[in-house]
Amino acid sequence: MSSPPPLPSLPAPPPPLADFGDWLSPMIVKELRQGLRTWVFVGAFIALQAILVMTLLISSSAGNAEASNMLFWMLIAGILVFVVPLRGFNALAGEMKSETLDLLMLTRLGAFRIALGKWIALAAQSGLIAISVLPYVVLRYFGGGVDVLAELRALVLLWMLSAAVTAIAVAFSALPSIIIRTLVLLATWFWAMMACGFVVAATIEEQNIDMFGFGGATTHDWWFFLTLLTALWAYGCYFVLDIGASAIAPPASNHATRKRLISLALMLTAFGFVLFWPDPQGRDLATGCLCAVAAVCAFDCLTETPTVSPSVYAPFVRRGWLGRRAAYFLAPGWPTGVAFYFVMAAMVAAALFRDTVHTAYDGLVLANALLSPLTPLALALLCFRHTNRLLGPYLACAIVLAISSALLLFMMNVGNADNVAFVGVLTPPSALTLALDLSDNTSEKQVLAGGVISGSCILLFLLIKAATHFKALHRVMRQAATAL
Amino acid sequence: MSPAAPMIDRSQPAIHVENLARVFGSFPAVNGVSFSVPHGHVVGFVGANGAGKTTTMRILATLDYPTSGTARLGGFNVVDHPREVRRLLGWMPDSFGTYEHMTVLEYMDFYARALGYRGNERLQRTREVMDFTDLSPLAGRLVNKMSKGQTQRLCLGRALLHDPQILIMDEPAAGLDPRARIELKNLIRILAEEGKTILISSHILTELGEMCDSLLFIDRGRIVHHGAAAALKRGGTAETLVTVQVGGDPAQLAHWALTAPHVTLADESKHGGRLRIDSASDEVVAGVLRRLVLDGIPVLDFHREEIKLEDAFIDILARLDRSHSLSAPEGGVPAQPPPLLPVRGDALVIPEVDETPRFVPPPQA
Repeated sequence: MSSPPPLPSLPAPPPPLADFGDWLSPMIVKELRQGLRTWVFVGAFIALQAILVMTLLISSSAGNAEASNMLFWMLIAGILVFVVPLRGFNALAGEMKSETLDLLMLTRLGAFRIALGKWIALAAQSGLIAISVLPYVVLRYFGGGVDVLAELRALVLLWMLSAAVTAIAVAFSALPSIIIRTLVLLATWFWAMMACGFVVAATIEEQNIDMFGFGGATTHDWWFFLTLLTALWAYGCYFVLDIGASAIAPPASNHATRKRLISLALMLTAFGFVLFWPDPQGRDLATGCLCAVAAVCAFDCLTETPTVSPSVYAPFVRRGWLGRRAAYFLAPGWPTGVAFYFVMAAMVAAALFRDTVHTAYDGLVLANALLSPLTPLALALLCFRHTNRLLGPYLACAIVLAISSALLLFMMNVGNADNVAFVGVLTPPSALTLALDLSDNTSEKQVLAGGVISGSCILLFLLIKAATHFKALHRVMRQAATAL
Repeated sequence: MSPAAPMIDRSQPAIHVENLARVFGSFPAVNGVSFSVPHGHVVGFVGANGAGKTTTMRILATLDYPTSGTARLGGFNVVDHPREVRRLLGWMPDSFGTYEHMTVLEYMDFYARALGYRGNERLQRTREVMDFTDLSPLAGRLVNKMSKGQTQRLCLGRALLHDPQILIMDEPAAGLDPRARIELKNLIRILAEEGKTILISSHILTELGEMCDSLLFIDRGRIVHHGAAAALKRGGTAETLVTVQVGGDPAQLAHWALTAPHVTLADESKHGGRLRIDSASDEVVAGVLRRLVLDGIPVLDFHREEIKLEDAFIDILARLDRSHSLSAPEGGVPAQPPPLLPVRGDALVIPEVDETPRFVPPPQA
């Protein structure tokens, strides 16, 4: 009797994955698994190591310390601030394009966790690159003429800068327009390049840079500066990532209230320092922080998409009379954003009137500056009537306004200044740009006053548009109250 | 059941949609859709491209929101309780992308993590689902290098990771070869036997007819028919046509039909004929066959005549179009008529009560 044929063997169970622990966010695990295998990371990592070895060899043989020093830092800054953030350029857009974002949204990952996970994975990769540079820093120290602490400080600052640029790249990758995304990244790189110069000059070259009026870079000032910078950096990264999260979140979700409340808390803290700090330099610093937070928050408030889903307003309604009133300032959407902008503008104006604004001219400059962020919103509402998402149109209008103001400035310098200045009063940003370049004080005031008048008209237009939305908001809150 | 899955109210239908509408700009993609699906039923969702299937399904999956109306899954409103709905729901979209530099096992592991599984529970659940969908042999393969059929199994596996009670599948068989289609159909059959509620859209109506307890036909954003597939195949009438072949003289069938209750001879053929039975009930049809045999008629073949689902669907649309053209006034836009085939599923609710006016004024220029 022949033996029965052997049974087909069952497929072996897949080996368990133990590369990342449960404590890590799923999104970070996914991004690290993918990211560490991409050619951008692997290529940049290997290229950096190879060039650093060559730089060290050349500097030790040629003895040109300054040139090798410059090459060393240019290379690190280039990879950290320019190459790694490039991967963030397509982070959220890639998920949308490949239709995987819907699948992610159906898990327990919220929009913010998705954006945060992508950012942390990229920041971790730039951290890996920064850490891989440490042996070279030590080798350079043994080569002589290098302050290790200063180099470490520079490395940390460059990594923070890289993470900030990455956060902007990830957040704005949610924009559908590739042109706007490119322009935002180019503008960010421009500022990042200047910041790189500042970091290297202030740390490696030990130049005595006057930071916010503190007179000089003493060790004590450095730590204070670093602490403040870290706080602002953390806030800025959180905020821009939440902007990206809002852009990919389902329509009936509320990301606005948390952002506005955190910003309000920070602004109130800074405002407290402005009011009660005895040292004028400290007050200036607090005013600077207040203005920075207000500027970031204003950009978000004025570009949010309004939502009229009752589920968004239910938490406000549950908090009674005060909650319903708060909804007009804290609920998602640009109309409530305009209301919240008034609160922020009042705080900024009050802080500036404390020490900085003294004359009528200063007042006019301030009024134009405060009315300027509203101008791109009004233009976007007029020109992009059928668009729900305002972020892209707002940025496009802001870019157009900036370019037209620069053109007017150029024309004023080469042609008839009075005629050009007359055109400039049509919007507060152009009025502000032209007035600051005019030599005659009376003309400056006239242009600025014109800017304030045009800005007031823009404000009136926005208030009329917002009133329509507020009616709908009132109705939806009543619906939400009935549902409760 | 996935970690901390919400409790379902079994007294509520698994899916309940009422006057659901979704307007994109001025285009109503979904226009007052209402239907209900009891727990454990498999319902086919049929409609032409652009009829509103995907929009309805996306609203049910909390990926879009309705302009008006309500949709509930397991008693949870999709707008007010999206998190609870997502834990009940497995979603398989008509098209989806995969990731680069990621293996099948890593893909499943990522989604298991994202759905809240930890430690051994995650490993076990991933393994179970990969075995069920036959993905275990492909564990080390990159997900963006898989065939269409394998990708669909991967998508089904992902949708099943948290053991959802309700599955919504948008064109799961589109683009699959016959073998992959059969594999997918078998998987869906097993899931249906496990008692999962499945809403599935497809263009392949024959397959839907085999799998589904009932069918929902949607056209121009409105439900035009909701009923059992078997009833639809019988033409939605109250009578049944059977073809009978007999041994010997075919005339004996005609003689028998003259005396038998509930039966008339529709026409004669070379080997028998067609009988018209004045009931669609299975018991009555079986009774006719029993009586034929008892009366000594040598029956060689006895089968019910069924129309193809495709034909039924086309027929419904044609009747709808005829009704439109007859009732549309000059310059006016006809409102959607009520369902033309009032076929009821055994336990299905058909709340399609049309209270809209017959005609609405033409849109303003």
